[in-house]
Amino acid sequence: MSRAAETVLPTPPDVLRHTFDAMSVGVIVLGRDLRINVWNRWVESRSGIAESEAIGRGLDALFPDLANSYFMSAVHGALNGGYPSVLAPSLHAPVFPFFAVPGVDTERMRQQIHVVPLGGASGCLVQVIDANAAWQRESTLKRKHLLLEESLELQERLLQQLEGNKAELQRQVRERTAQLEELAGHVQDLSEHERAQLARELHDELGALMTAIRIDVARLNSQSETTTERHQRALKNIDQAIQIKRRIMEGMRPTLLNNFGVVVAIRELAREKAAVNTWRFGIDLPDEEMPISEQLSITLYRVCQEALTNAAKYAEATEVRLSLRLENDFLVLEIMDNGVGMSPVREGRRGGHGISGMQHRVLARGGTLEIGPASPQGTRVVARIPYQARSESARDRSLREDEAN
Amino acid sequence: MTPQLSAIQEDALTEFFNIAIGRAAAMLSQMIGEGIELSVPVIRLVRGQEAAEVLGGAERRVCSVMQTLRGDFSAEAMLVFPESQSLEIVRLLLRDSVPLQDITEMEQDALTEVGNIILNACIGTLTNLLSGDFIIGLPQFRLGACSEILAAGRRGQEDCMLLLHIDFRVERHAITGYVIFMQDLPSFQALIQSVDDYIARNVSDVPRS
Repeated sequence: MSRAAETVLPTPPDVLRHTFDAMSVGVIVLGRDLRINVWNRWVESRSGIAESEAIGRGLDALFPDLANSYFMSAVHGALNGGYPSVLAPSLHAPVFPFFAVPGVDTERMRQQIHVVPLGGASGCLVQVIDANAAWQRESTLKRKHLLLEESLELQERLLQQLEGNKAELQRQVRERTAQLEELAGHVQDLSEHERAQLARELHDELGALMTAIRIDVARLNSQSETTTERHQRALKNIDQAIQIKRRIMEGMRPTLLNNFGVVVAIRELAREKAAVNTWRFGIDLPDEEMPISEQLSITLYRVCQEALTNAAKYAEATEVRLSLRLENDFLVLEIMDNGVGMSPVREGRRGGHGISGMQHRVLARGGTLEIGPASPQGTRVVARIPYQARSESARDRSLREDEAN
Repeated sequence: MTPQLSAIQEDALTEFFNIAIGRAAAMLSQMIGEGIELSVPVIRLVRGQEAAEVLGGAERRVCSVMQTLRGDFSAEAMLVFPESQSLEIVRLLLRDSVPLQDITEMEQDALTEVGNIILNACIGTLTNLLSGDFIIGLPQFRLGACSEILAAGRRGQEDCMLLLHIDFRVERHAITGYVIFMQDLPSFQALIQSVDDYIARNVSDVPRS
């Protein structure tokens, strides 16, 4: 690198001077002795120092604060070593006391500075660029970014909270549903129990009484024709009353279920329904009676009863199949018809209470009930109830205790 | 033909560059108010394609600061960091930095200045070895695929490159970058010659390569 003799740059010719003044960046040209040779209009207006005041003075004399600064070492590097330097606004406090509007602004403008050695090492150019706009742009960008991050975090937290609330609500719904099912089961058991008692009383007391009356009336001597007529009518009425009593008893507590168990009761129920409705009927039941609790027997019987009643009432079926089987600790009762099936509209109407009654009975035994379309057409009802041979459920026990009390 | 560096020439050059870059580290530390260590563990001579491989492949996104050297010899000096590492450096230097996905204008300016300081130190070493007059250009920042960045500095096919590994340590972070000098063959031969002269003057008992 050549080490030119110390020279002061010649005063720039007019064209050059006009060019410097027309530039939208600050231009300061220093001689090797740090004297200011060029001080353009941009610098004049940002520093509040007139060109006439600056030219010929040493930069260090004009800005004594700059002594020993990083900027000055960059200037020396340019003057002595020919090294150009850039000073980034983000790494340095503003070097010069330059303001967008001197005398009004209190804060120095952010400056990007280039220090460029001039050819022949005769001096260096200091170029000052206003970085205020870029600085503010970036501050805004960062602020927006932080805001965005904060709102994303908030959103995330709210979502988590909502999820938590949802889970809690679901838990409450499950709990309440379980309680209601328990209650519904209990009510049904109680009602079955009362029916059974009523049926017993009808049979034991009213039944016996009416039979006795019938025998007595039949033995009465008839005196006149009128009396004989009345006698006959009374006998007919008593027979009718006995029939009515039997029918009521059957509805309340099927005699077959009581006497022969669930398999026989279901088979007879199905035969009767098939005969009345002229269905082709397929039935698949266990060969032997099953050792199951009374409550479970009633549940199975009532589900059959309801499903067959629905098939008769709504399905217009010509064929019905029924099966009861044991599958891995589950009793599976399946009733299928080939009728018109259930449309979503009809679903609500078709035996509304009947279906929810079936559901309650099955749920109360800890099972599940599916009602859906059969293939290729019709309706399929499947009840799956957990089954342990000869086990007695807690409800069976509590019911017996109720009875005892 | 690519010139080769003998072990002793390589040692001498590594030594020169380490002294220079140590001064750059001191300047940076003073500026940032934080201990920054810079060192040049390895120097090697490579051809164009090889440089791209060393930098992680032609497609790799890198960030570079380049200064040109014009005069009795022509050369390009380039500091190259992988894009992710350049973000790491600049965010270590600028404390209030918000980690945005892309490098911002202010961060680019800061990296340009860091590159300028490191490159000035390395260029000083080179110009001290090569006699002649030079004009050193202002640093230019570029971001792009490695192949594009290297193409910006290459002038002829016979160019070979002096590649300096630069280890950059701030706090507990260690970042590796590269300084690449791209020169034509005559200036490389002159460079090697002046290294030899230096060795001959200073280490008289070592045979010349």
